[in-house]
Amino acid sequence: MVQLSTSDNEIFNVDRDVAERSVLLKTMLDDLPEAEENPIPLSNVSSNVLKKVLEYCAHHRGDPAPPTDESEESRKRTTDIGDWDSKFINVDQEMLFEIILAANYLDIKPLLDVGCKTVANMIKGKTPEEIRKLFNIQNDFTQEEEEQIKKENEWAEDR
Amino acid sequence: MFDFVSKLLNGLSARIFSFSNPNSFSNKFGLARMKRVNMSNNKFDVVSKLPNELSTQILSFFDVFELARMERVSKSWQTLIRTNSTLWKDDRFDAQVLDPCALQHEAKYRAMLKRCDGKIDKVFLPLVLPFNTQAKLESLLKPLVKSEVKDLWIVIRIDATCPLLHIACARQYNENLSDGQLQDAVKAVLETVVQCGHLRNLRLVTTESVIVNMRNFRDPAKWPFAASRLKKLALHNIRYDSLFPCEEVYQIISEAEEIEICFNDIYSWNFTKKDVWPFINTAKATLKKCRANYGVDDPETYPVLPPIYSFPQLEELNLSIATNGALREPQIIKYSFECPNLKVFHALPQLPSQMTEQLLSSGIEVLSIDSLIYEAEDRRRVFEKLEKCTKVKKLILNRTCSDDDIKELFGRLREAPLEELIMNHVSDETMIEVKKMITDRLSVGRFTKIQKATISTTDGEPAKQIEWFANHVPDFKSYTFYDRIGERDYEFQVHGQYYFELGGRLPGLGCFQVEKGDDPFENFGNNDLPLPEDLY
Repeated sequence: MVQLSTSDNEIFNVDRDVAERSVLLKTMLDDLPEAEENPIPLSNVSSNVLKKVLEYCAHHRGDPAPPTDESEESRKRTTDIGDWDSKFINVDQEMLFEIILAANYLDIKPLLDVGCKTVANMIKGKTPEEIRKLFNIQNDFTQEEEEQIKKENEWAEDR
Repeated sequence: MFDFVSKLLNGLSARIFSFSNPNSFSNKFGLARMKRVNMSNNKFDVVSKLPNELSTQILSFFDVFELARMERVSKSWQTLIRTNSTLWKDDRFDAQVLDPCALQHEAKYRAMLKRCDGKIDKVFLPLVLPFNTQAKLESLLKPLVKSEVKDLWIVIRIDATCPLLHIACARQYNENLSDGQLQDAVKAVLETVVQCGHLRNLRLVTTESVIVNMRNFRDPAKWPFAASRLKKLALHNIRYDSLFPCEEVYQIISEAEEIEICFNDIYSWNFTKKDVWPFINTAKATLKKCRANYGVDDPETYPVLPPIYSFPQLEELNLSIATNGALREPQIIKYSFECPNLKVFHALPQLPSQMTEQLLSSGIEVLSIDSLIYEAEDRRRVFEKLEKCTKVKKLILNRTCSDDDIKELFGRLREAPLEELIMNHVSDETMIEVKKMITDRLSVGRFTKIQKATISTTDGEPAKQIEWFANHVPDFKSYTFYDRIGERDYEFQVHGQYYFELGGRLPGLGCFQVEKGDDPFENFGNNDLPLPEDLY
């Protein structure tokens, strides 16, 4: 058992193999044996986010370690997400944002990947206006500026 | 009193419940408040609020076209995308479906070079004549010099509306193209290339043959490729006044690992003797892959060669040399070839028996056989060598291969773990023979099944056998001589040539006007369209 303490001072008791899905925690536990005695402070992660992240880690506890030399190309080309993962990541934008940050901080590559792919999938196929709506972004271009970019990037429009 | 407390508690729990379940919250002020919370908390600019490395990771799922469109979302998105050169570095084009006809490539190329400040590895640049004037060409080529491009692929085409123009047709459609324009364009490209010491892989293709006068390059030290340490060089339809005439040039690209020299309008040139075999003069110990497809007028033309050729690294040799007869006269006999690591061997038409014998190393995995018309004794020796090729996985049989040859070949290759067959223009009899071979091999039981076969047929006859093949080979494709897509795929599979590089090698190919984006092969078979012969 490993104890993790969140930014809002909640303590989580976690099986070691679940915690070790996080490369950060794995390195800590390997290097500092005493880490097992005391709660590990995760000052960047709040309890509701950590709960979610641990849910992911627990589900994937038995997964083989991701290949380190995974070819960049194959990773980039596909935005497919597994069934369980896509249900898991079906959360609001705030939570998605926090999960990506936590996955990055805790160094959980597959989860970071799921998070980034999810955002990419949300954007995919949308017009600039639809993207603005999606993320509640203010269009801060003047009409002339927007026309100018449109003209510069004409080559990308008609495909 | 008790009643009051319980009412209060109920009220409280109801209120608490309402807060955690906004849909049931009926108070209109409360609802308005929830909505505002929603807007500010739940929908926000996830992408640009993330640290740069993470937003880059998200954006890396998009190609350059999508990225260019996404620049319009907001100023922060524009900055995020434009200033991030890693996003623009990777061209990610799929060469097999490349459409050199698409004008958008040019604009894309400009945008990419600009965005990533020349820090780009791969560039595919199709130049279209006569629409690109010389000045415009030069402005397109100039940024390459200061870039870091390693992999450059330039296709010079004439007429954007016709992706696959036969040489003769091209002339018809392009009265606007002045005689020197193509030469000038090629020269501009070559002069740029001279200055690009960063290049490692260069592929230059024109759809019409061009002769570049070496005298145009004043300083011999500045001849094309002089500045480059090229690992791969491919030239399609571009040659100097006498192919590759200079020892100096051979020396310069002597570190190359792959050389590819192909011409479409074969037969028309007088080669000086040593230029018939450019790979031989060029190749040094580093050569791994060599492809030469061209023609010679006179099969008696042989190069002046040193006596022994040793290519210890050579893995792939693809010679397709059209002549007015087989390269049979064994002047070349005096020379010996040592290619112990050859894995892919393809020669058309048949080479002199000694050469074939020497090149048939036991490690060959892909074997392409033309006719084997040799003197009895020579033939016996070639077949003995073939019997030792016990690693052949892929066998390509060309149209000139006789049924006797095929029968004996399959006998000799009985130990080889054949997986794939490609047969070009085969007769019914041949197919019966091949069918027998497949059944025999299966009955012996120690062989894996033939997994893949591609068969092209000359007339309707072999159709009788096709059904059998379709039922016995899991991945089976067949097409007739008139099926241009089949021919195109065949050329790609066997010779590795892209369709726009083929030009006149497939008569009648692409001699019709197509709209941008259309599949040029779709219209084939429409008899109203002129065939190249009509235009000569």
